[in-house]
Amino acid sequence: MALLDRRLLIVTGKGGTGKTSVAAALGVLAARQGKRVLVAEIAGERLSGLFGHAPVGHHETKVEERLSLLAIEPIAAAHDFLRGQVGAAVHRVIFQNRLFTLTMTAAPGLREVSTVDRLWDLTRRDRGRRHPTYDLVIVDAPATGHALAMLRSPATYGGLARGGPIKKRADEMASLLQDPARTGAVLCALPEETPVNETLETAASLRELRVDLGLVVLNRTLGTLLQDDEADAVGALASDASGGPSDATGGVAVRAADCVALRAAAPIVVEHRRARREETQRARLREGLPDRVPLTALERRPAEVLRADLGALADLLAKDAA
Amino acid sequence: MSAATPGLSSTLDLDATLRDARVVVLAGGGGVGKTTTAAGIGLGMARRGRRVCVLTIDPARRLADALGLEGVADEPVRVPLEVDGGLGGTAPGELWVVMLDAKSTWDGLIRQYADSDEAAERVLQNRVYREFSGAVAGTQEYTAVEKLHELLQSGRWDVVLLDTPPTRNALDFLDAPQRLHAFIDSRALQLLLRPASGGLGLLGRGAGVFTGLLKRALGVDLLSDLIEFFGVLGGMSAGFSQRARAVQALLAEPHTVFLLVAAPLPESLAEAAQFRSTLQGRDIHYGGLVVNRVTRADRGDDEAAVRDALAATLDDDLAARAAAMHERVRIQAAHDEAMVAAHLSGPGDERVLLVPQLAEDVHDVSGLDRLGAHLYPARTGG
Repeated sequence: MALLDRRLLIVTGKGGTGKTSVAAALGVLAARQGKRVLVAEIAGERLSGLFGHAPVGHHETKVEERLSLLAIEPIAAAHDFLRGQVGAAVHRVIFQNRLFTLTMTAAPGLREVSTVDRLWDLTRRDRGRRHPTYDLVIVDAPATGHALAMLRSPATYGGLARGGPIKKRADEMASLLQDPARTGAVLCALPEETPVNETLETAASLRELRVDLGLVVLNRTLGTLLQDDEADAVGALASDASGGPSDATGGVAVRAADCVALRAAAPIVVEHRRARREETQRARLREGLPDRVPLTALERRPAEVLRADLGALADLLAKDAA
Repeated sequence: MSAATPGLSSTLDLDATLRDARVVVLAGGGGVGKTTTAAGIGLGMARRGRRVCVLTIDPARRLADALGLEGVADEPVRVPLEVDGGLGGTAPGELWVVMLDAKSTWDGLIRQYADSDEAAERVLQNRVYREFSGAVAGTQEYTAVEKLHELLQSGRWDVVLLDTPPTRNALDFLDAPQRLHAFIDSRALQLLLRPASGGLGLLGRGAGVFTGLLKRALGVDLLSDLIEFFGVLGGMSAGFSQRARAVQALLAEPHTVFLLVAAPLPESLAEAAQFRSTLQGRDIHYGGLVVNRVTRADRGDDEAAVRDALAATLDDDLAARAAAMHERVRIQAAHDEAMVAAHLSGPGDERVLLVPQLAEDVHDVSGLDRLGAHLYPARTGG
């Protein structure tokens, strides 16, 4: 199943791995293909800024042709969820009760399950006349730990509440998340040891949760231009120079060049070694993932990703996602 | 042309800032190198003769293994320091590391505060508790400060460094004790749950309706578990409340120093700035900002200059490629500097420590010593 032909994509990864940019670029890509897309983020709002739009909050807001944004606030989602369960009038009454409010914050996974409930609702084909229908919902999910808790929450809740309407709803959510034709996870990673470890662990957790991993995006990659022996030769300049003047012929100009070479050599070697470590980690990631999971590498860019960059990012993701 | 072009430089002197610290709290988002920084700072303090314990949440595996933490949770482990990087000889101080296990810290608390062993067992077996203690956001934050308190009380260490759980919102961490206390201490809760009044039949006339609604909304099994959970927890309220106050006081002490850790990335620096503003209104001693993995290169050495300089010794093709590598480092370095500088605007923000991108990953004590040379530049003489 092509990634963008599903109904729900959960984009997650360790903090700082580029989840938001990837979620936004996937949204741009799907909209470009003619799909009606909603990109939702959870407990925070950065996407509207990226799209140059005023904050959208807890309201589905169209910001571009075929592309809408939503910032899901878990507490608000929990109220919606319970309102749906008990009715608006009753909710209004019990909401004033402090115990109820406490229960909301304390009940294990309530906020998480309510967030998934919201996503479940957004993916429905028939949401009634007052709500738009989306072909694809992309979630800029919280960092890995919280995202996994979220994906686990329908099962947790279904287990705690063994009977009643909540159980039924939780089962429906779980079946959405576990259906590879409808739901896919996208993991963002960096080519460094810890992020790669975490990505592989998350891939294993997703298998346990039976959520299909559809794509891994390796962000901020940049290879070396040197061979190892060449890097050593450059590095030798730094150690020669620091050992004192090695060449007695030096006039002023030569010494100036020596100074530049001395200063420049170390950063070049650091960069070369970083790139080599990156290659190792990239290979390790590829090896640890199932063959069928595509791995897209995106190049490091010195500047922040802006709306103008999303098109190019979408192009890069198109091969493996579309 | 030959002189180095000065750029943004470090102004935070960790030696001076942490000299009298008993608690160092490192805060920041995920993936910024908090754990490694905590271990590096801790090692530096141990090298200065102090007995140091680093409380960490989720260290990178290789570092954890190298420090002897493999499979050990909740128990402090002493890190052997035979070789003093750079100075030689055996370190007089001690470095210990303890990995937090939120669940077992909770279990310990329940056992400590429960009225009886039987009550404790009931909570430990309760399904709501089992979910709550392991999974719910916020409980990890609470157990972190709880464990910190316990380590300090033991008197075994001069200073404890706390590597906080990555959190988007600083308040989650700072307010965890208070929030938990408010939660357990709620009067409504007490009223509803007082076991003497028979569990469910309480709250007067509205109770039946109310619990009926909760039952409908949450499912019956969950409800009875919730009630039992709150019931037993409510009995522990006094103990928790005392502890929450102690922890709160500890965080406000002058010997508790907060350090922020960030990566040279916009969202990480923005997070740090937000954390800073949260700290400002509080009784908190802010030490400064550590920015990890900053790309450094001399901003005056442009590609042509580097190529020409290298070509004096190396062949032209290699010199050109090496210069191209340098150029991209230089662009990144300029970008990193500008980004860090842009986020330093508030009072106290001048205290910043830039830790350069290192040639090798840090995953053992000698790596921490190499990192230490950048964390404590004065000591190694630069």
